[in-house]
Amino acid sequence: MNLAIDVATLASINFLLGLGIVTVYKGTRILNFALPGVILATAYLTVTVASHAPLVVALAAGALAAAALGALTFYVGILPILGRPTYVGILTTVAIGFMLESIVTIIWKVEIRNLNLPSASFTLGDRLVSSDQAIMWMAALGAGILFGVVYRYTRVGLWLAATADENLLARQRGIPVMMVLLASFVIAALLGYVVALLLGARQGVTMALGSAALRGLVVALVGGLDSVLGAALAAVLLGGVEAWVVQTDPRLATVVPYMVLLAVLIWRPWGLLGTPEELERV
Amino acid sequence: MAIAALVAAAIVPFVFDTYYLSLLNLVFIACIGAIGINITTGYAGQVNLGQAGFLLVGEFVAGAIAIHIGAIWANFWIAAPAAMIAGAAVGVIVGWPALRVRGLYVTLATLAAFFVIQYLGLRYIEYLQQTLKTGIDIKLSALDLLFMTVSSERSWYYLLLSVTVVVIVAATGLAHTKAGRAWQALREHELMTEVMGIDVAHYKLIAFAVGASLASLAGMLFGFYHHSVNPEAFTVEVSVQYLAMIIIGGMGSIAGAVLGAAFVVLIPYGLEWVLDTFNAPSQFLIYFSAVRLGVFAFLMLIFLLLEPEGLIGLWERIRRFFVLWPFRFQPLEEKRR
Repeated sequence: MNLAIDVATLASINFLLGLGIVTVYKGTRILNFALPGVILATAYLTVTVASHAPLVVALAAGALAAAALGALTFYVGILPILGRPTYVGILTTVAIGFMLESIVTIIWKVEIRNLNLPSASFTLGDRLVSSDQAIMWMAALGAGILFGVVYRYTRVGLWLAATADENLLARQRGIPVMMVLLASFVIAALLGYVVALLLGARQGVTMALGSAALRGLVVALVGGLDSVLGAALAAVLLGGVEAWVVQTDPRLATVVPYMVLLAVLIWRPWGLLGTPEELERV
Repeated sequence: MAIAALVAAAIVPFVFDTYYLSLLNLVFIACIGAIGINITTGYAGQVNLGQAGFLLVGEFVAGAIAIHIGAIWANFWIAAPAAMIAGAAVGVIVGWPALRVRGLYVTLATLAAFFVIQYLGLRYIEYLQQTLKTGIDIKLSALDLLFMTVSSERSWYYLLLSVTVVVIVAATGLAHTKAGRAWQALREHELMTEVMGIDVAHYKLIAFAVGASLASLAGMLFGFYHHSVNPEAFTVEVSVQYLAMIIIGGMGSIAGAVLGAAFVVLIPYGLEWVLDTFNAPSQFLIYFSAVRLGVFAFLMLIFLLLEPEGLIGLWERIRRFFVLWPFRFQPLEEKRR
């Protein structure tokens, strides 16, 4: 039971982070390396505002900042380089992510801050579970179902697929391509913000949030970059492995996801449930 | 011109004092690593976020030789090839996923490999501490060249200068071989390269092996230069710095890598001076590494967006402006590039 609860929590975090990456990849075929920076910045901002103003204001400010940073990533890092080779997009988002991280360090001086969300706790089996853990599970489950349904059954899902597949054709069919791209970056940032809040409430807001956020990239790659179900599977797998390893060697536990990633990349390069990358057209 | 440059380089130690020499030495070490990543990323287009891991490999090879085989064996002529071979081997392992997948995946594979290498390195140090009672880092003695030991800044300068020149010459040659052309082709369009009958997988692995072996060589020299093996010196930030070097300098150009390495190594000193003179708030100095990281990331972004060919491209444009003046374009028949 204990292990199951730990796995569920880790898997929920992993999944929400992975979903942010998948969302951006589905629309743009770009990996958003700026997400860890966005998560750090919004988490610290929320904590600071919360110490001067009511919590609701802080949450709203954080969400607004997350959306703004998501949009910034798109306008500064992606829009000007559309059409250039993929590696340029990787590098620009990497640069934006590290810039945010550096700004956060300078402003908040790597302090550990506490984010106090209202919380309660209840028992499950023989283990005390805090409400933010339960919220995390629910958020992951809800977001998973919502995104899965949206991608598969709605027009927006179709738009995303069309935008990623054939930019020009999508535009000719009247799909608001720019809006779709912008929206996917904003939504990814908001998902990241949810994780920032939940993680911050659990273990305090520290610089470690950034490296925790890198996990999202690992989850997305292990699961297959364009598959929500794959991300869920990978989240549970990585959460399970991590929860199991952490009992014997806590330091190994932080590295083990990367080992799993390397193994998966060699064994199934397109991830557990991803579509094998089709050849580009000449 | 090359000879004049070499003569100038040879008399530098008699003109500048040790402080400037030590800066130059750091630039040389960075040059070697930057030329390495320039091959993987600049020529072959495989973005490498794990350069710090490859540097670590070189350092650990130096340390392992000194500890397990004997300090007498930790001389340049054994440590350098050993570091390069180990680096190449690790590079091949890390580059393996690159055989089957493109762009995005490879970047994360290199990042993942970095974390794994760092973890293994820390565990190795821990093991040494428990069994051999070494300190937090492995101490290295002065680098032995058999006919002399390299200890003063001046002798380091000459050693690093010669190694860097050899690496520059070798890399320039390599860029004009079949492999070099294959790398540039697959950077521009992988499928086209494959269609042309070039074994993409093969050349990707070679790019990783060469890039990692040069990084490993730089790491080994870095370890001996600082007399210690300390995995904490190599963080993700170091990988970003190396990427910044080739982006700022100009990707796919050896001269660009050298220029970028000098720029990235020297800019923190300029930055420190600026912060000092303008009385910046103290947190800028306390978290100087963060300031540095931010500045590099910012420069990376600016160069990517505005000057993708880097400093070398900028220089090329300025040169052309003056060479062609008062005209703005070259007459067609004289166009070389």
